[in-house]
Amino acid sequence: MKVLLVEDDPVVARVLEMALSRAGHQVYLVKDFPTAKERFAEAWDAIVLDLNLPGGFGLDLLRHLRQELGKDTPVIVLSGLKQEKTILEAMRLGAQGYLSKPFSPQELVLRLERYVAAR
Amino acid sequence: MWRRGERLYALLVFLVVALEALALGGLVLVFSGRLFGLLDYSATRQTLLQALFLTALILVLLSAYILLYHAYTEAKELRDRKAYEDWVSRFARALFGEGALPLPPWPEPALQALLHLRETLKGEMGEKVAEWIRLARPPWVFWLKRSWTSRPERLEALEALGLARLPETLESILPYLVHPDPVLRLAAARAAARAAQGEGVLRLGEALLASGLSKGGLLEALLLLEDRAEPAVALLLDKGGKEEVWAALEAIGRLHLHPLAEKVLPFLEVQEPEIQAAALRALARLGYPPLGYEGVVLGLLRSGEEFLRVQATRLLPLLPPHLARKALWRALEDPSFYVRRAAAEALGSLDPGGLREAAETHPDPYGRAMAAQVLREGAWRN
Repeated sequence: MKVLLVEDDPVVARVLEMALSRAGHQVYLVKDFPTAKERFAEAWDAIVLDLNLPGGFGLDLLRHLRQELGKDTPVIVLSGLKQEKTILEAMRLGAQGYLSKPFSPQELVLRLERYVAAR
Repeated sequence: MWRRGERLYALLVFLVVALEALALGGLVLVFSGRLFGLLDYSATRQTLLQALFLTALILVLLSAYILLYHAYTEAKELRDRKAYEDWVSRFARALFGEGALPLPPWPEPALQALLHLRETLKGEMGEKVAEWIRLARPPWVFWLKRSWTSRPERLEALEALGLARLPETLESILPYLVHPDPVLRLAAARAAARAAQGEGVLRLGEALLASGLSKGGLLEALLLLEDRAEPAVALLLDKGGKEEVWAALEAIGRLHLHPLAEKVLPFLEVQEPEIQAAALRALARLGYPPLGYEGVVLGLLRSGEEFLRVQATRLLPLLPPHLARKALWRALEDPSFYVRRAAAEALGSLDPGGLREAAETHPDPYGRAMAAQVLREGAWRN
């Protein structure tokens, strides 16, 4: 599985890279909004998306993916934001899952695999 | 009050000012002597040159300090960042069973990496990181207990203990909830809320009651407790004063503490508008109908406080529909823009047909306009 990881926090990125790689997936890391927007045009099996990114807000990337690019790639939002409003907005925009930090990497990998299998 | 590095800088500035004062004092004395013919020209010139030399030396010293400080800080930050990243990778590899860890003691960047990992991870991995933090024997509890610890060190210790979330450190944090310094009190409340588990949550609730924190600080601590908050919130609701009750009511709504919903109802009747508004907000967030208190809620629509009427209006859709529709129709005549807005939105969620009717036939022109505006906005969003 080819996974795009959009995450600017080096610790989260490192842990997720290891968790996804160990599960046998190829991980590509981007750390900011503009690069992520460019790379969304490529074909991915799944995307892990942080919200507070240098250069923009993650939900705008999700809106871009669903509404402008018209892609249904499974997306898990992983963020420190826990407000109900943000979670609902992410789900309304078409995120398959929302995990808030602190999180369990194993849970994230399992969820991601399930979303991809159900696609 | 001193931050790290400031003492040395303050000492240097003091030295500079003292030497400069010495030089100026010397000049005043020598020039006065020359003015009254007590000193000859060469002695005056020599003193002037000495003063100039001293000033130049001071300037060179100060500039060198500032330049060296920046160069050293930058190099140290780079070195620390590199060490931090190395430790993050090392701990991450160990978490996934791909490498062994060296035995502690570990350097400061390793501790920072552990704290960041602890803040990020939960479940088995989070617990493993907590064990490593314990192994590292960090100095934070010692800093909190010893009498000569500086304020910045105490703040640093409280922040680190909050990130580490080690339940056994709670007892060292709680005394700071009655510390005379309000900044330390707030930092302690945050740290304790993260560290408290099981019975510790109730201990924190008791400490919050005695803390004298503002309602914002109390609410922040309760929200940080997240799904552990219920016992502390119930305690504040039962035994707290105005500030504690307000924070507890807000927390009930924001954390969706449904088991406490019944306890909110009596607060609709207290003669304190902010508490009443908080109770209304809590019920609205919970979606809990105010059974037996319908008359109270309707009565609050006639309150002199605008914010209270707004909150009461927002709760109306949870009343029996016939009561709610009638009250919302009437609320559209309210002189306040915000109440009319809340009424139109609530009517739209309860009965879209009723909102269309209000937009066309409501007798109050402002109420009619508000209903039409909310209708338009809904259509635009869809």
